[in-house]
Amino acid sequence: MIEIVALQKSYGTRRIIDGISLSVPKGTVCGVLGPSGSGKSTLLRCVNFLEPYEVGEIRIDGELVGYAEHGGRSRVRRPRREIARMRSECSMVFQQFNLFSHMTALENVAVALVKVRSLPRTVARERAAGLIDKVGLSARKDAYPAFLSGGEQQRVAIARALAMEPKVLLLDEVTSALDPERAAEVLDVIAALAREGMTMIMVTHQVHFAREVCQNIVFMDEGQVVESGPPGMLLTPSTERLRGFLRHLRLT
Amino acid sequence: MQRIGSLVPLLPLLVKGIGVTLLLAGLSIGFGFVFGLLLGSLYAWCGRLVRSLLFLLVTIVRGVPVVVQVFAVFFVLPAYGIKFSAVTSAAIALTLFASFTIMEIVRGGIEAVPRAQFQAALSLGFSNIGAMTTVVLPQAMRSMTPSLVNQAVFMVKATSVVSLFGVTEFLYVAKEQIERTLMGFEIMAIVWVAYTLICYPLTALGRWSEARLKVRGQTALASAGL
Repeated sequence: MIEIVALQKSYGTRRIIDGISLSVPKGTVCGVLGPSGSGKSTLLRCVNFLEPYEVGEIRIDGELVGYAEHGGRSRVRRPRREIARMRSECSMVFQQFNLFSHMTALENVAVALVKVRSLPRTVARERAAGLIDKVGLSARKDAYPAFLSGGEQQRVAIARALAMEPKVLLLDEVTSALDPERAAEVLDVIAALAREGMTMIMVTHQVHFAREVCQNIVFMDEGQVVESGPPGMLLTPSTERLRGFLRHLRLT
Repeated sequence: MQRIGSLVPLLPLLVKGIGVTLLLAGLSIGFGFVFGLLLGSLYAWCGRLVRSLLFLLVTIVRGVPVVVQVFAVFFVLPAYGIKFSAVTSAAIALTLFASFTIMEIVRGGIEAVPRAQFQAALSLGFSNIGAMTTVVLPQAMRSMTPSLVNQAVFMVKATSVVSLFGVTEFLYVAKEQIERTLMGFEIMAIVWVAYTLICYPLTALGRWSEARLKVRGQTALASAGL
């Protein structure tokens, strides 16, 4: 479903992603772990093409993300319309929720259906209500984000991402801004999605949760994949770097 | 009492003057808002080159009294063969001023909306313009409203400078009548009250829309995460 090959991304002279290759089969969840600044978020943002990348390839369902297929050296960006379509097919959920603060929970979920997918308002609201129900918030659907708890906001954000019926869901530290109880609400939703066979890349610090839902784990540091494999590798890490990282996580 | 009675025949003239004032204010606020919104979005949008150009223009336009700008449109443009009627010239000058001042308000409003909001919209498949009009601008309006209302009130009052150039707006008519009738106190009282009556509804509208936006969006407390 997602194929990343030799990806590189720099800001100026600083290389954030330094040759990452990664494969996420359809219906599986890939967990990305690593210290802050290791390029995890940037990786997700590249897959969503919120950040252009210079070298390497990201393919979703065989389609090259952001750039037109070509035989030559120089890359040509896809037309804006296509980039927008591809973005909507792999929705992103952010650490800070980023709900639209001037819209109710329901409107947040429905707005892209109306404005991007051009569905009639009534159909969009109906579908949005269904998704809000799915994340267990039917009672709160007319509340503005300011009146929702962090966990509720994040669940609305997931519903908003699901509304586009994406092929892939990108989760960027979705529980990092939440206390353990609120985080559990959100993790339940994600676990349910994983059981339904949603393809996901999940950047997280929740090692236990990652072990439960992921088929593959990637440990990143300084823009490179240090270690990757099935979740079991977290119990028997083969690199000193991952061992050290896990030790610190357990202490906190 | 007789003096006040003799004011009555002047009223139609004064009302006509108010008409011109309202026309000028309406045009400059209306067009100023449209251009200001466009320029402000352009500024938030474009690269360094356009930004520096706009910054230069803002500096030039805002660094000069309104009177001088009106003067320029009245006398400098005709020297290059561009001629307009007095009212049109006044409207152009005031719109120019309003556009660049409102541009600054819009720019500030847009910059106050977290960039993450824009990116969240993009990641849902919105186009740049769609993300701007559906997500960023409505939120920017919230912080812009007080300044915009201020600007509108200011524009109503600023129209009075064109009286210096013989445009028969409210203040010009009033001054004319003072010279003719020598009833300075009474006529100035009317001028005072009339401007207040025009500006008050604007302020009230501002308060109302501010309150409405606040209820729909977030309160200061809530935005601080409390």
